[in-house]
Amino acid sequence: MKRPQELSIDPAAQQQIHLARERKLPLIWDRLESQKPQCGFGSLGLCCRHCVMGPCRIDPVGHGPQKGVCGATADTLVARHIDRMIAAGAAAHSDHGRRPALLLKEIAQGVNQDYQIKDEAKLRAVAERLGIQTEGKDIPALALEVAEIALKDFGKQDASPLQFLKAYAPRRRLELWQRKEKELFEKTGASMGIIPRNIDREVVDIMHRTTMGMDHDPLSLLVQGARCALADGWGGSLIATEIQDILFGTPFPREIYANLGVLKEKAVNIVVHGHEPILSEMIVHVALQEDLQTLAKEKGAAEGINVVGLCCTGNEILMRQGVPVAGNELHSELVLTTGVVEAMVVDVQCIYPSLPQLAKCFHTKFISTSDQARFPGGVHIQFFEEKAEEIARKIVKLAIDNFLQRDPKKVHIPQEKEKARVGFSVEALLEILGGSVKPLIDALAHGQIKGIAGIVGCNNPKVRQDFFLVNLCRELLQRNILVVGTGCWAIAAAKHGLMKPEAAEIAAPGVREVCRTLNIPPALHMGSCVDCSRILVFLSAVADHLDCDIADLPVAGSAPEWTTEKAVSIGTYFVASGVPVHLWPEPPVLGSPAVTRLLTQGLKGLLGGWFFVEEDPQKAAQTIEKIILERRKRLGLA
Amino acid sequence: MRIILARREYCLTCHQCALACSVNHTSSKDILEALSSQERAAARIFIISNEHQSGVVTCRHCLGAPCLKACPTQAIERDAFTGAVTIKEELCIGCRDCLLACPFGAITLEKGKAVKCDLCQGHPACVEACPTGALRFVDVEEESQSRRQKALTKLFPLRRKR
Repeated sequence: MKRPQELSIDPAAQQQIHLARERKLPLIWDRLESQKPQCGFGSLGLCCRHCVMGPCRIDPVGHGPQKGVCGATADTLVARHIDRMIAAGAAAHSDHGRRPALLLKEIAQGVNQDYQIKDEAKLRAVAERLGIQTEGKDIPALALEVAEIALKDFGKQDASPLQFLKAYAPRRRLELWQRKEKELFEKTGASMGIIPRNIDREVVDIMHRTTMGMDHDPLSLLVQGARCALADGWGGSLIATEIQDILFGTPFPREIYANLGVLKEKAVNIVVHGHEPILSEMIVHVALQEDLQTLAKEKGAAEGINVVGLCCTGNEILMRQGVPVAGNELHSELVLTTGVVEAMVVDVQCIYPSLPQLAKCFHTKFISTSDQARFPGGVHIQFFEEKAEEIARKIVKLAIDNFLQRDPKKVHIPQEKEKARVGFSVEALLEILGGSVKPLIDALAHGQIKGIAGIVGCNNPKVRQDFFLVNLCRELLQRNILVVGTGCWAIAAAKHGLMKPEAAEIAAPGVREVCRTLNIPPALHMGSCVDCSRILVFLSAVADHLDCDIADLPVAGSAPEWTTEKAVSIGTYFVASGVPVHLWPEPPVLGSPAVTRLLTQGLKGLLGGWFFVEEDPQKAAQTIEKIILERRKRLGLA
Repeated sequence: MRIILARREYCLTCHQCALACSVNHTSSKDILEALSSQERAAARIFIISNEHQSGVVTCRHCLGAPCLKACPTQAIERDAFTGAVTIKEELCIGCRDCLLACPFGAITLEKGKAVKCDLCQGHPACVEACPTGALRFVDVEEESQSRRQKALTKLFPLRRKR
């Protein structure tokens, strides 16, 4: 059995893993061990279950079958499989984006009174960007128009590009996509689309295309994969970010605390976990209400109610409300083992089904709220946007009532918590830079900063928790590469002190000086995983300022501890937008050398970005640096 | 006699062998029957891994089987037909001496009794199930003889006539 230190570099996590083992509480790492060794066919992408002539497997090493029953080859199997991963990931982000769009419409129409439009300036900015005539229009009218354009991007049936993509993608990139569509047709005689038409349709297209007897050509399968991913990045995720900003406010820099030490022994602790801000914003709001705070104190919680975040719901409310964050994905079980969580409230995505069982070992109430995410063994309190405040109050009261059930013998809160400066939306970055991206471009041009890397994505128990996320970040900073990012990386960076302005010390002199001048940390928290769209929007601003393509910029991306299908979609939309992307662990594609070559080399000529796999943070940083230096050279920079 | 040999370089750790082994040790030997009756049987073949490698371990049916010698109730015997070292369930007292005696860890426990590979009466289900041919059912002496033949050509290559 591995020691806690081998499972996580986070001292708070190590303590809780040790504690869980003493109490014989099963954790995610134990379940991973029990799955080992994992099936090679699945790991290589060589298993197909799309019809019941199968399941089929292709033997990559022995003398077994080289084709499925239908005749599909390893190349087809692998390409179809990766396509379905992209479709699932894009569906998750985009279905998330649909909710705020619908809510905005309901607010505009006066149907929903529980929520307001908090950021009118952002609403105007988004409307103007979408080409809406804003003059003389009141807020509800503008909100309605923005919501309708967003919803149209989910449902329009013509083949024109998504309106959000057209309004936000850089000029040169749009031209490149159009040019490449033509080139593909000229080369192959087959029509292959890159520019997404409708967010839902691109997901449906993949499900159709990958069913039995449809598309078997790895190239056209991957091109549709790119189109679907772009519908996520420049569509569903972007809509989620922009409309959530309109509803709850655009993030600006603020200080928060991160790690399990944010839990309070003398307070009613409510952990909000999942991905959306709609319910969690309301919980944060009602938890501050005086009667509930008093009620908590009456029950003996001297410090009242303490709402903390986890995962991307945590990221959403730390960016906008400065709510402390208890940890990233692999902390979700560990937070329960502290014994002080009165309620864990979840919405959607990345919520382990093991949590309600683990909660039962303590007094913790595990409360699911989404009709799309149910958890046997937990409590379900159905969330409805139109009764949001009432439901949020009910949840908080349940947590308060549960405070007295806490067993003091089971309490152990690690002391670890770290200060972090977060909230770097594109708007915030532009304000810091004095209204334009030019100062940053100058810093890049003069070589003060070599380039920018985005680190995103999950934790994965196959990788020592935060080890890759944090060390890759350090390695890049030491190479004078500024780091931005989202998701579980951002929480890792916050926990490990990389988001304090003082952390600039560890960076090379160029980045250090830029950070000192602007009073920013060297690792910039840009939000939740749908907020990867903020990175796209920022790249777009830089590219348009220079009148170049994103593929010309000295930038690269990485998802070094990735887990979910959503990460495949994110990786693919960055690649399809011209950004090379590092991945670890390796995706299930190695069963087809042809598809692997396409992903790691072929896409470079087509879309300007490509994937590469590397197990070691230092070597990954070296490769990213090499890519950035090559791109600088092409731009004529030293 | 024939035993099960694994070629590690062909094994993808898909667990198909273990599943087939379990099913073949239920009373119906049928996966759907076993599922509906909720009867479970432990696999007698083990797919294991560490940081750097993975592989399959199962009984070698050793000629000087230490498990057979260790058993205090003579529950372990050699099958006259297949040569397999097998355990008589009714005689096993669950003392686990055989588990400790086996240098490969190829014996496990099921409902308080020791169980191990019995070569499925000469038709091992695991070998039949292996999709890559990593598992083979091999007569070790024949295998050795064929290797000797191969060695001959390597050790003493034919002299070309000038």
